[in-house]
Amino acid sequence: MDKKDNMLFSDFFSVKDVDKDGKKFDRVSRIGARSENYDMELTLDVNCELYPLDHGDRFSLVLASSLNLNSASAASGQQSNLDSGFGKADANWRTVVGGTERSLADEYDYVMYGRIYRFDDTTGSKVSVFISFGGLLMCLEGESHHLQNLTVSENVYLLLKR
Amino acid sequence: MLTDTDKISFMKRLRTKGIDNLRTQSIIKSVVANCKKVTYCMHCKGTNGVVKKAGPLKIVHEKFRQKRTAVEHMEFLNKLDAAVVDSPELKNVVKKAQEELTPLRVFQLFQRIPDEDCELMGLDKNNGRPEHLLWTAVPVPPCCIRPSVAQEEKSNEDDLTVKLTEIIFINSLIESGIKKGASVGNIMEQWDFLSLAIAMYISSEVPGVPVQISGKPIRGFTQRLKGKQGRFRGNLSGKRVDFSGRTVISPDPNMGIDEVAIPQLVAKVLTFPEVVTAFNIEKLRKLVVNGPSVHPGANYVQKLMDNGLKRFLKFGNRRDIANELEIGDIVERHLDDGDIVLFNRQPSLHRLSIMSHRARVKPWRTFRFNECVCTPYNADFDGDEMNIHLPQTQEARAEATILMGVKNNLVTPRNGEPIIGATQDFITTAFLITQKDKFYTRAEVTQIISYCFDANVHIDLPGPCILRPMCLWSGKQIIGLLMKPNHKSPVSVGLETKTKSYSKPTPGSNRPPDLCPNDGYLVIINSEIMCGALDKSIVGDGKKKSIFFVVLHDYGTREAAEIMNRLAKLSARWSCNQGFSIGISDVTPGAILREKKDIIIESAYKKCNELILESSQGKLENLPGCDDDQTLESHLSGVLSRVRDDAGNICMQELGRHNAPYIMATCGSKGSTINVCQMVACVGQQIVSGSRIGDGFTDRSLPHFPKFSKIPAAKGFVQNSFFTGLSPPEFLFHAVSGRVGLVDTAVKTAETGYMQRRLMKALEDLSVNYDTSVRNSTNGVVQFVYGDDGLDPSELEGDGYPVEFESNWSHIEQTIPVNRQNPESVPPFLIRKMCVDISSIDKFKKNCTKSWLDSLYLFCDGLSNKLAKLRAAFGLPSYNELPEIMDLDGENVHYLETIDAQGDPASVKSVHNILQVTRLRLERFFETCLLKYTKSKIEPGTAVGALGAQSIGEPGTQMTLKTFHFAGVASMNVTLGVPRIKEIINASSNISTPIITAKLVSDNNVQSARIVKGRVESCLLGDIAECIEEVYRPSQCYLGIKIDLKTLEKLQLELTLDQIASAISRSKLKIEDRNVRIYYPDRLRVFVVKKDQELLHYNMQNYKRLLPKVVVNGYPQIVRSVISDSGNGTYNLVVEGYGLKDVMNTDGVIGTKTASNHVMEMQKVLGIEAARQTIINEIQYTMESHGMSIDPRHMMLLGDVMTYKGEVLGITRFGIAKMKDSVMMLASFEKTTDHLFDAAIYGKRDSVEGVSERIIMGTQMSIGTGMFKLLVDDNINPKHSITESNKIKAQKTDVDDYKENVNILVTAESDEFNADMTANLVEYDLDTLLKPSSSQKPGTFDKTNKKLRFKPRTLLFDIEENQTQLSVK
Repeated sequence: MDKKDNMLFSDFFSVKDVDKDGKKFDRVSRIGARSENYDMELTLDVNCELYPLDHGDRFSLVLASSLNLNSASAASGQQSNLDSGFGKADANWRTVVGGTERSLADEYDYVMYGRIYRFDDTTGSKVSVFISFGGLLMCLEGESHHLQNLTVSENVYLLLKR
Repeated sequence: MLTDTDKISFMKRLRTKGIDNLRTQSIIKSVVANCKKVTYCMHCKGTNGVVKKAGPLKIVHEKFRQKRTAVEHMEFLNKLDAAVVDSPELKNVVKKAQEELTPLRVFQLFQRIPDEDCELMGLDKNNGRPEHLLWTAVPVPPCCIRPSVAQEEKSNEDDLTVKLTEIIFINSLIESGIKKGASVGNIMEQWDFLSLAIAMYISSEVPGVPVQISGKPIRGFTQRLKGKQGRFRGNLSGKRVDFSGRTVISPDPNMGIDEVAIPQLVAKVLTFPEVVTAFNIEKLRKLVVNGPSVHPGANYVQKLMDNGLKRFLKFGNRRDIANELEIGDIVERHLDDGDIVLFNRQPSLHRLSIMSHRARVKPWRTFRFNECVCTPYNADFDGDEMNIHLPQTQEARAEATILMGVKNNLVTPRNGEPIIGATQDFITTAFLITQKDKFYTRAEVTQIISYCFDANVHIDLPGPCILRPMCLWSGKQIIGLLMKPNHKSPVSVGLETKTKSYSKPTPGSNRPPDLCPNDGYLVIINSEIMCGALDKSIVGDGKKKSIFFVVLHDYGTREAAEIMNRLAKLSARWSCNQGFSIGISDVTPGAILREKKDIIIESAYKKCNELILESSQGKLENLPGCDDDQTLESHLSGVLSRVRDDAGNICMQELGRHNAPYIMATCGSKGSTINVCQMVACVGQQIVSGSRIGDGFTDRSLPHFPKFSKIPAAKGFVQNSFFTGLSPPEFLFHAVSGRVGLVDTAVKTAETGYMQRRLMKALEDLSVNYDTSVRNSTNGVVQFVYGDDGLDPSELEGDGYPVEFESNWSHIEQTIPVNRQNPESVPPFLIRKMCVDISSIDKFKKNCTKSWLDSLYLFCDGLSNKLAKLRAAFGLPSYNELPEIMDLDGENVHYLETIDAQGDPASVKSVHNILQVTRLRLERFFETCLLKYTKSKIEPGTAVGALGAQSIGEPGTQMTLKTFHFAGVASMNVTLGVPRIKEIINASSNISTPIITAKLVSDNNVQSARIVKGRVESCLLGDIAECIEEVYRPSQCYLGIKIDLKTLEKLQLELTLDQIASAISRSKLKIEDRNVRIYYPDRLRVFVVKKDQELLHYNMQNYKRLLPKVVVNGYPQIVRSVISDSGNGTYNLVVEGYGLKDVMNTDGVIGTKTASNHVMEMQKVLGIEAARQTIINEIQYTMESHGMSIDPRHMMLLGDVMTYKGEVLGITRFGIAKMKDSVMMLASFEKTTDHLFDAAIYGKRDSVEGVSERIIMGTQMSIGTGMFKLLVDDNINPKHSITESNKIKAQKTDVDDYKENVNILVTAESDEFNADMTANLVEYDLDTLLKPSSSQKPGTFDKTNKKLRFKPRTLLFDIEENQTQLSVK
């Protein structure tokens, strides 16, 4: 089982603040968090009804390109999916939703699926990555070499667990 | 009356070739002027006097008015002595005797005018001799013109008939009178009565004739032609038509935007003549059997056999008729689904008021259409009615769908913004569904997405945005699907913009816009919404950053319309389940809100009281150019108007997210912050024509308040909300401003309607020609290139420019993925080279202007700089310049992959993630840009004049009553709104606020600005004189003036006593130089001349009264001037009044940067080009200050039309009469009969080329699709006539020739004509050619215009049918 293939980024974060601009939406909170290993800043919209996070909470965060536990099936799946026009990660969710196969998602509490849509170089060598999970935003800011696995306009999974 | 030499010179000038109407008129005018000066006739030595009217229908020749004709006068009077002898009572009046010009006398005079003099008077000696202008016989129109209406037993005759009988009756009276020898007086009376009756026969509004008191005035010929209901405007320019209908409209979101539901009842009346072919015969048979009363049926059948005899299908055996149907017959079938109908709502202010829809026949009785299409029609459903018309030929249908189709008119030509977009509920739905916390389960999301479609589209469900703990999809994903339902759909929307609810990041924090806490920054990539909620600015109309606009320009109209349809359907169904309503609880303010509002109002009241107190104590510093009251008023209204804004903002903060008014105001679907505030918190200050409510009683608005009260409540401030209810005074004030609003709108509509009509008449015939010039119907050039760049305002992607590079590049980035194997990433230096390489190929060079290409290079340069900077930031070599090891032209130019092989992979990756320019992307980018640029070029034939007139007129109707605006400083008001637009296009010489803006030489110094102000402003003697005293001394009497030198110094006026003295002597008081004496240092004496002992005193008093008003300094036409602070420490001088020339030449003013807003003055001082620019700028400025954007090209065209004759012509009846020559066009505009009489006198010809004329004549106009003609070369053996055998050959040649170079030859059989034709090319209209009976003799063709002209559509068909008359090679 080779997890490395799928995992694009992973680290532990602790919540700095929740809704610092005031609570604007009923079911969604914007959390600010700081990474423990890579010195990164995270802003993340979380559905707080499903997965409430509070100030000081610590969680592990993983960005993965697919939820396959085994990379071989991922490769074959990719092949078949390319023909139908779906992206690599695109069709992957159906098996996970159906719960037919064991997947990476099973190990986590809160999983989102979305797209990396922009890289920004606002502050010198630090890079911000913007990912949107159907409107729930994630902004990860840090040194570029920690984020080099991420490619713009690709679909990713976000996995959280406490 | 002219000498022979004069005659010849005038004649010469009149006979100049190619002279236009305007110049001819002016020559004739000068002829008349010259003649007036002559006293004695050259031929008969008779005296020449003034001919003038004397009472109704009497003309008198005052021969002896001039003094030197006294001798002749005496002679004339002597002749009358005999009469006096006969009847002594004449003695007293005989002195006043003049020669009366009776019709008979005039007729005799006219007959004696020689032919050559006719020409000098502008008359036609052959057909329009002056005596022809007098009636020798009364024309009697046939009975159908004056029908008699038979009512029970007696018949009612037409006015004309009545008048005719009257004329005949008087005639017979006179006749019998002469025979029987009635008295002269009696006959004269009847004679006068007869001429009166004839005059009434022509026009019942003869000046000087008493109006008939009883009943309605009779309708003479003039009245029949005149006015809106008259022949010209009522029957010729606009006609009643068949195949049309009108009924109430109602909304239906299930209709597509290009559809309209037609009630079955209507569909059964409107028919389309469908020709029976082998393909539709079965269908048509069924329709015929159904007959007129069953819906998909038919009303009439025209048989080919019976020469087009119509058979009504209501009676007779329809089955038989159906069976007898054969190919070539015409069935007038009912309107059916898919037919093209024109849909229209009055007032038709712009071309989008008539659009073509596809019909869908539905039950019930209203026309129904999608709400999105309300905006162009300006329709609502409170009882509005609309019209439909059914085009009757296939050509008409084709033209209607392409040119007038709703889908092809999604943008307004006014500025290229989308005009059809989601409205009201659709916006609310889009807003609510894209909220960040809208999540749906799989069942819900599939249900909702199926709302958008008619179960006919494959949908690819994207992955859920939340997988664990449960699968949820967000609302944004649904909207994404709506744009791109499956992966096969090409639509890939890319858009990035701020929405209405975007909140600016606090200064200092570098929060990226995406992370706006309100979700107010929209990013759409590949049709997926990344962040941001949709609102009016994204799905509504009127914004270039809307989804529909982006799709329209990237993927075409069909996709844009489709997405709109989907949103409409989704909205209708989704909101039915969701529910959205408003109730009393929505407008009930909470405790906090009430408290905050009370605080605001209280503090405002306190502030107002303080201000009033300060003002009454005189402590309030006056604003520039204002007196005490104005200053106070301006402060107070500032404070009070802020109250409502503040209260509104608090409302938006305090109301809950689920409050319906709040939602509607934030997403822009209906209402604004102010509306919410008025309901919830505070109605605010009521304003009538720019100020607070005025006094209806003595010195107060209502007797409830003390006199001269200035407190907010007394002047119309309403502190209650609609929820709490208004107090009685408040209610009254609210009603006052409400009524003013209603009156204002009523007045405005009438005014703007007339303005629109005038604009349209002036600009209607302008169109773009194939040589890119804009010309009018007489081929006069108005512009060489439309709008200076030849671009179509409705096709522009950006604001005034054709291609939005930025968004196109990001669209390219999104849609063209990087090829992983061979990305070919381009380094910065190569980007520049590739740009030049790509754009040097022919299709760029030929199609693009240099300036546009330059802007494209500039963008690419920016792109490469950005990339270079980025690379530098990540520690990679920037390659902004060509590295030395490489040679641009050589082989060793590499893409980034090779160059960066050794670089830090993380950095390389990051740079690529941020910006990656590949060869493919760059090429595609250039291609798209070129495509969009060529698309945005204006098409030849476009009626740019009509578009311009509509684009300026239509927004006029929307302008609200905000008529004033501050020009930089308070108190310097500029007229705005409709009155200002009217001033500009009328080219009025008297405008209400003429303002000169002057740049100062030293513009950062208030002191020097004041000095200049002093030079400019007019200063009266009274202002600087300490006293003016009367001095009576035995030796002399004078007025002593003492000048206040201190004031002079304070005002910084550089005036010496000499200057003052000369100013006094220059004034209109007619005081001579020597009578003003100076006594230094500060005294002047004005001596009064004593002509008359008695008058001396009065003269003294008179001078004393007038002297203070003498302008001693500055320019008298200037009312006042104000120094305006432009904000950054520089000052301008704003001068109100006329006198641009003076101000420009004032020391301290930069003359070259000084301009007036007065068009006519600019023309006078700076010339016609300056006037043109002023027109353009002023209209633009006025429109902008009302928040309306109009493409500058429209204004340019208007400016050019108003100035292209060399003088500024207003868009008024006078100006238009100078612009156009066509009598028919002028007659259909205003003063119908005046123009017709004029035309009759001068024997004018109308070439029938303009739009109005062609409409009147019912022919095709020469703009738009009617512009191009077919040129026929008849050098190729014209004698060759057609036979049965070469008929086919003829057709074949047509087709063959068409491929090469259209060379079709058509000639008439007449030999005479053939001879003409052989000369060269002859221009001739086929319609007349085919009707030899109706056309003039073939021999009289205009030989100068040797081109044969055809209506292309009828060509082939007509040749076959009329082969006997035509010969075809």
